[in-house]
Amino acid sequence: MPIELPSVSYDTNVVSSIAAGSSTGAAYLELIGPHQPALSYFVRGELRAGRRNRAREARLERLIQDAEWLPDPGEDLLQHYARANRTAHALGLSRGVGEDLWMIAQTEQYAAAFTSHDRNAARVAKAMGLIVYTTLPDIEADYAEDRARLARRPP
Amino acid sequence: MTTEEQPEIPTPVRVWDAARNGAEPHRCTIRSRVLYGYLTLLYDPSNLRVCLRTGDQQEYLMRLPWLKLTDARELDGEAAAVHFDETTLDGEVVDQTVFALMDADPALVRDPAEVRREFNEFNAKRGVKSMTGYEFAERLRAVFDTDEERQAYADQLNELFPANRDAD
Repeated sequence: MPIELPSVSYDTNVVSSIAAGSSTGAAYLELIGPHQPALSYFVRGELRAGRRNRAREARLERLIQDAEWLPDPGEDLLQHYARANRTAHALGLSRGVGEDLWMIAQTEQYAAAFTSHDRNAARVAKAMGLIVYTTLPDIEADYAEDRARLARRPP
Repeated sequence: MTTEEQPEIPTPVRVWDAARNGAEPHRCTIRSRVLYGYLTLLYDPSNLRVCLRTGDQQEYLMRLPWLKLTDARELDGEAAAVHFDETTLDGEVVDQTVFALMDADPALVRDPAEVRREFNEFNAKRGVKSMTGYEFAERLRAVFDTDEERQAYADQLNELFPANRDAD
């Protein structure tokens, strides 16, 4: 029986590094290239916020429409947001993640993996038990410290 | 607390398209700290009136430019009822919704397998075909005609990020 790879919920910073064709973007593609991308409502909004040229808008919109989406927010999302918020608070990151908690919450809700180049977002997602793909250095050391912190102060 | 003493909430909000979420009443369990984000997700703030009630207590919890909070109290972890009146531009109440505010209820968290099925069905209905990250990247780059356009778009996205992001 084939193993189904989980879809990967993209943070916008990963999309921007891929768009730029940077070395960071290339490194992310090595990590997440084989997986199906999934776009949260949050990231779809951010991707649309960055467009100007009409022809480009149409091509970008087609790509967004053709990609897998995390379903639109509903009441269930709140439970996951509350958990993400408590986790961020327990890690001392309440102000450092902000609106990204919605994206992390939705990723958890739909059991997707997460990719981000934002250290705080990656830390919260990892502490919540999500599969996190990131090229950030020392993230494993962060994770060990975060787990110890959560053991002392559970979310 | 009087109206004049209301704390400002400077965070820019992300407004969700209420039409896509329907106008049916909602009843749910939420924490007070998520109220702000939740409201802006589900409703068009331009025609939303919010009224928080906890028994006979009547205090303002917060005041947003587009919301009229008529009565509320400090809700830190306590149960409370929240009435949302969605109004038309001429002030007619078209929908009233009641929320219960309390700590997250684990019983409301759904089976992950069921949620995953919903995820798959949602995308199947949208007609989404399989796409790898490689294909996504290729199509994303093809959106732009020049390297300069690509970089300009990436720069625009980067401007959305707060300062805590790691630089490329």
